[in-house]
Amino acid sequence: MERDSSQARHEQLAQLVTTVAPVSFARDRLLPVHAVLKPLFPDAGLTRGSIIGCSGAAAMSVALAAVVGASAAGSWLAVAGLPGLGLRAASEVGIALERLVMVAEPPQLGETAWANMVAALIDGFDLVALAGVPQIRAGTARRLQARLQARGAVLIVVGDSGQFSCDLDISVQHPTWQGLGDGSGRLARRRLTLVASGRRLGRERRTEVWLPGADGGIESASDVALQSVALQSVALKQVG
Amino acid sequence: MSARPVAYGDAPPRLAVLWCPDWSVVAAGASPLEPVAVLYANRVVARTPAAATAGVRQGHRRREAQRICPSLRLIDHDPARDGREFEAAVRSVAQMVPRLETTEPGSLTFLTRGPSRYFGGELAMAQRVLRLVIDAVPNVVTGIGIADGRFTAGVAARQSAGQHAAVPVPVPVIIGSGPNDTRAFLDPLSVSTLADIAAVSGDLIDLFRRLGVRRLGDLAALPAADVLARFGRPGVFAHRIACGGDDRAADAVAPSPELVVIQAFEDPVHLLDPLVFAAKQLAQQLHDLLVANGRVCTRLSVVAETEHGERSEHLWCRPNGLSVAAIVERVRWQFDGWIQQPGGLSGGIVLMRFTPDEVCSDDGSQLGFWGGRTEADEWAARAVARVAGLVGEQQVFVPAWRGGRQPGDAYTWVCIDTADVTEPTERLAVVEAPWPGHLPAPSPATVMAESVPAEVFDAAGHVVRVNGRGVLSAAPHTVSVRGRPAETIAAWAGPWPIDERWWDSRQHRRMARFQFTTSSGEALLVVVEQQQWWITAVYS
Repeated sequence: MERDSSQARHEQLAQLVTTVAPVSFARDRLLPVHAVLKPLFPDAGLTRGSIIGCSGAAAMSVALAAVVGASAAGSWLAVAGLPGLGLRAASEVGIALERLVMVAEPPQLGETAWANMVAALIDGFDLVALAGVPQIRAGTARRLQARLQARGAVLIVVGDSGQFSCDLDISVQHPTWQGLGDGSGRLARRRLTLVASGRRLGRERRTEVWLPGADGGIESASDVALQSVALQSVALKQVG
Repeated sequence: MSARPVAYGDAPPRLAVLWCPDWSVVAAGASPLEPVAVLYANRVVARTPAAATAGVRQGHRRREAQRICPSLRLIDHDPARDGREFEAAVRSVAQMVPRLETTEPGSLTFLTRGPSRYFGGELAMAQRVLRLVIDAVPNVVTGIGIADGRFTAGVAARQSAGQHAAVPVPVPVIIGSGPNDTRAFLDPLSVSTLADIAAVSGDLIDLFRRLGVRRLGDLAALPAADVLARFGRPGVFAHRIACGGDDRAADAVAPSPELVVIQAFEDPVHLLDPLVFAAKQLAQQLHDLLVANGRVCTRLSVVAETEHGERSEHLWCRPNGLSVAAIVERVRWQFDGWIQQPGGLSGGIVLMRFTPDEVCSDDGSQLGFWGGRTEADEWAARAVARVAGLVGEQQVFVPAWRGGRQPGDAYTWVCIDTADVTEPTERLAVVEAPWPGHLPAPSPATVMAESVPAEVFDAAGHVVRVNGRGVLSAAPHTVSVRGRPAETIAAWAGPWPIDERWWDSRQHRRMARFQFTTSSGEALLVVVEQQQWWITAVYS
């Protein structure tokens, strides 16, 4: 009798806990992004627990750019399957190298071992960047995704995302390099149109950036582009 | 002035310190007649007597050391090797002295009271210990000092080791008991001794010097209260040592006897890796127990027993506190040396026990508010350990600065078993030393682990060549990679020749670099070396 009542009270209490628990809005669970990239993200930041896919010609630079804000603000970044990551470029774009760890996967890693490794990374790091996602079962991907949400990390997939369903896909259009001539000059900066699409975005969002900019960092190209067009047209008028 | 009262608490215990200078070269098996130096972070940390005679000193840079002694052989620093090899010395002394304590490989401390009575006085005992170590470890340079307190005994041991080069068996340096003898020995020494032996910060020593406090005697003559007011806690610590006081933390206590963690193995363990793994868990357990009380272990006894009753007991001491990683590292040294001893163990290990011998309050790991160590760092350090357990320690890397002209040279990946994940200051100390000829920013985001061979043709379809003076045979027109269809080069620049390490026939590289953008919008960093084109990096 007494036991029943105490159990009932426990259940009541458990219900109360769920109703009284503070609601956490998605925007409270954000990691910062670089100011130039804010227009691409639905909440102007990296939503914890989300997966971001980077694909296209400049996937590596875009993946680095996406995590720069959070890395500089104190988050740790783990990369796996990216042995070719250019550290100098990473430091130029603003990644905090003191908070960067790389895992070189042994090539014969099975699905379970790979998933365990990714799970361990998700547990310990705010930012996890993966490339070369192997063929895994949809269930494994879902479990990893659930863990990601529980832990509040952000997963960045470079290239083919395989079984992971990305919350946000960032692709690159019209990459154009400046500075290189016909036997002269040097690569100075690259202009890109970044296109973000995803479930929570109504329509595609675009932004023009210099990535890498003149010093290797990220610069906005939208306003500068307008200026240069305006200057050019003025100059043409004067000549003509 | 001679009747200065001892300002600090109880008299320090009478200790013997056995000190092997340049232990790293001895551990590396170098002959004392060959000039050899061990390098850590491009600085000499240890050298053989032959190298010392040639003028190589600790702290010299690689180049500096090679300039002074061109025939110098350089060895990379390996703390695990130092620890493992030092076990031989520890075992030899353990035959006659119990409770040996190691701060770092190369230094051994023990209480003298018991052994000196048994072996007929301090001098007889010290000579015996020296003889044991010299017999057990070939080519060792060593010395022993006996005095009140760790610092004084450490200074004495260094003096004793200093004469070893001249005599086959060094003479023990024994400082009489009591504060007056200790003071008389310490007073004429330079204050920089504090930095060398007691790890007092160099800045504080510098400050002492600039204020005219040059000798330990000058420092000891200052009133303790004034030292506290002017220099704070580090100053008081330095003052206490200079007065011949105890150099343990003021609040160090012996922990309660029930504070012990034990791991018994049902099946005897024969391999090192599972032992280290278990040690990791035990160390974490101990750490959690101590942290709950806001304490940190400064001296830890590590005991292991085999199924046939063989035993290895060791005291590990670290004045700043033993973190989990530090405990595991020391356990690895101890067991590695024990398992690899001549003859090996007769059975597997069945018991491992960690007993804190001395704990003090943990005031050194305040989580950072503005920078410094944060909770995210703790999480990451743990995750790194876990991932290393899953995929192997050789597979987890952190960046380190190296410097160089090629995009892949500036930073390199170092394995986490040789680097501290959360202490990046040393490995990422960027020395923007002049690297004339390195390409300015932006740098390529993808650096090929191995360069990809390519072919570059001019408009007429001939392979483009670069001659010794850096002149192109024709403007490059198409580039093809590994049999893929050739791509037209939209824009290009180069050649930028570099001629690296021309003084070293094995590492000499002479090449010319180019940047290409292809018609598909890709930008490549291409080099030509020995008339062969390579793609080394992609601006992806």
